[in-house]
Order: sequence, then C-alpha cells, then structure tokens
Amino acid sequence: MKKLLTLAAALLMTASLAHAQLGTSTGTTTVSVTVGAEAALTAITGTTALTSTGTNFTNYTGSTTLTYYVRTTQSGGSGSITLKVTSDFSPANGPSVTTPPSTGDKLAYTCTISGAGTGCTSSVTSSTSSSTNVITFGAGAHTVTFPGGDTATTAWTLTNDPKYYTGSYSATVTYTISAS
Amino acid sequence: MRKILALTAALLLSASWSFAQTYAGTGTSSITVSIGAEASIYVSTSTTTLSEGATPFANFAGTTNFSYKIRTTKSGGSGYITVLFGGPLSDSAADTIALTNLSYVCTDVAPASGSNCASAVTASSSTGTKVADFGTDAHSLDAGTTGNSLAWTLVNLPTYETGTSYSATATFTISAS
Repeated sequence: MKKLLTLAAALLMTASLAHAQLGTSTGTTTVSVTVGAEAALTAITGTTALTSTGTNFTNYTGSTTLTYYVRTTQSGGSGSITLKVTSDFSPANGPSVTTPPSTGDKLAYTCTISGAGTGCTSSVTSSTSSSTNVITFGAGAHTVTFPGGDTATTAWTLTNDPKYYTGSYSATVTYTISAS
Repeated sequence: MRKILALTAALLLSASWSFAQTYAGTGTSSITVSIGAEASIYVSTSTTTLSEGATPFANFAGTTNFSYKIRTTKSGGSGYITVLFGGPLSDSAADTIALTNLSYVCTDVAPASGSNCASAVTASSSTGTKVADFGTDAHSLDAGTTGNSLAWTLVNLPTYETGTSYSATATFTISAS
C-alpha cells in the first residue's frame, strides 16, 4: 500500500511539473529590403504658352515647371534630367527647331532648381536630334523635399523671327529623368 | 533463547500483517493530469523580403506567414501574439531605415482575433505590438492553426541611402493564460 501511494504521488508530481509553464513561445523572421537608385518625374506643366510683350519682335518667353524625385547610389552613382524636342513646331511656316527660317533662330532654355542636383548653368539650345541637360545628379543624391518633391523650372526663349507666318504653332518637349 | 524466539515470532507476525492485503481479480490506480494554458508559434517565413511596387517610389511590401497552437484557460483565460523588432532596418554600411516607416496589417484565423491590427500598426523596437488576441477557452486545431499572416508596408522615401540589403529581426511572441 505504501509503495502504491508513493508511486501515485510520484506520478502526480511529474504530471504537474510538465504543465507548470505559462505557454510562452517565440519565433523569428528576418525582414529585409534592397533600396536601389530610383528617379521619377511628375507634375510637368501640361501646356507651356510662350508669349511676347511689346511690338518690336521681343522674343517669346514662357516657363515649364516639373516636380522630381531622385535617389542615386551612395558611391559612384549619378543621374540626370534631360529634355528633347520630340515633335517640332507645326504646322509649317512658323518656328522650327530643326529647320528655322533664319540662321540663329532657336528655342533655348535656362534652368532653375529647388532641390537636389545641379541645374544647367547657362542658356541651352534645344534640339530634335539629341537630348540636352537640365539637371545633373552626383553620387548620393536624394530628393530634398518629400513627399512634395523637388522642383525645376525651364525658362524658354523662342526667337521672334518676322519670317514666321501668323498662326498657332505647337511642339512637344519630352523630359527624361534617370538615376543609377 | 526465549527472548530471541519471542522477537523472531514478533517479527514474523509483523511481516505477515504487512502483507495481509486483499488479492482480487482486479485492481485500480487513479491516473491524473493537470492541463494548463499553453501556446506555441511557428513563423514559416524565415526571411520576409519587401519588394517595391510597379511605379517609381511605390512602397515596398511583403508578407510573413505564421501558425500557432494555443489553449487558454476555460474561465477567465486569454492570450496574445506580439511582434518586436531588435532595432531599425540596417545594412552593412550602418545605414538605417527607421521603423516608423514600417507598418503591418494582420490576417488572423480564429480563434485568433486581429482586431488590434486590422488597421496599419507601426513596427516598434521598444514594445511588442499586437498581432493577435485570444479569449477565454480558446483552442487551436490540433496540428496548429495556419493561414495567419502579417502584410508589411515600408514607405519608399528618396532619402534612404541605396544599399545591398537592409534587414532587421522581428520576434513573434505568443502567450496564453
């Protein structure tokens, strides 16, 4: 009897010890992400109207504003914003980037930026055959203003050539941003 | 000699009384066990990779899957699952991404309740944040209740330094009472 009681007591003690835990357990996951160079443009002035003041063939002027976001690689990275006249002025007999009626006629721009990068430092003549620089980004460039984005303005000047026929003309300028 | 014989007889009598138990065709023993509250968790996604969306500077997103086993006390019991980070996301160059940019939304399978993380919860390294809650007398499936997950979102800020891989360890803790 004593042996039976002793054995029972031992069993009871063992069982209670096995379940005396609160039931706490842990598991882990490693959260990882790769952040790469990246760039984006947004909010580009849809229609940039060039206007001239006065009556003495003052050049036409106007501005295009764009918002940009950029992140270049910390070491060795770079980037840029360029533009290209992807569709010359039409209809014919007006201004033209490719074949202006007079030598020296041009559609040119200067750059003003508020944010990351270095803007073009002097007037740049636009082209339909190649892209021209607006902003240059170096290594470790980051958008200064977020979420609003950094801004850049290209101030246009179009030669007011008397040879232009009167009428309305339009061209398309395409801006491209890149980052590495 | 008489004393020795008397002592021997007394000893023999005591021994026979010690084993004077009843022999019968059957005998019984009472087996008992105490069942307590208990819980365990298995995080099946050992590495949760956050991937960027389709458009530039779209948020990074990823999912961590987990399953659990749980038993809470029949009366007045409860339980929970929390997640706690060891620190910010960091890369080998010691660049960091603050956890304030990382959040999650939970999907919990009953008996787990995800009411505390149905809306985005910001990740933390200072205090565990809720992943699931359990009520009284909660029981998982015997093989574990699967299908639970956390959907992570990391804001894609241009100010992050580019890096080969940022990472941080998130520890899930389950408890039951």
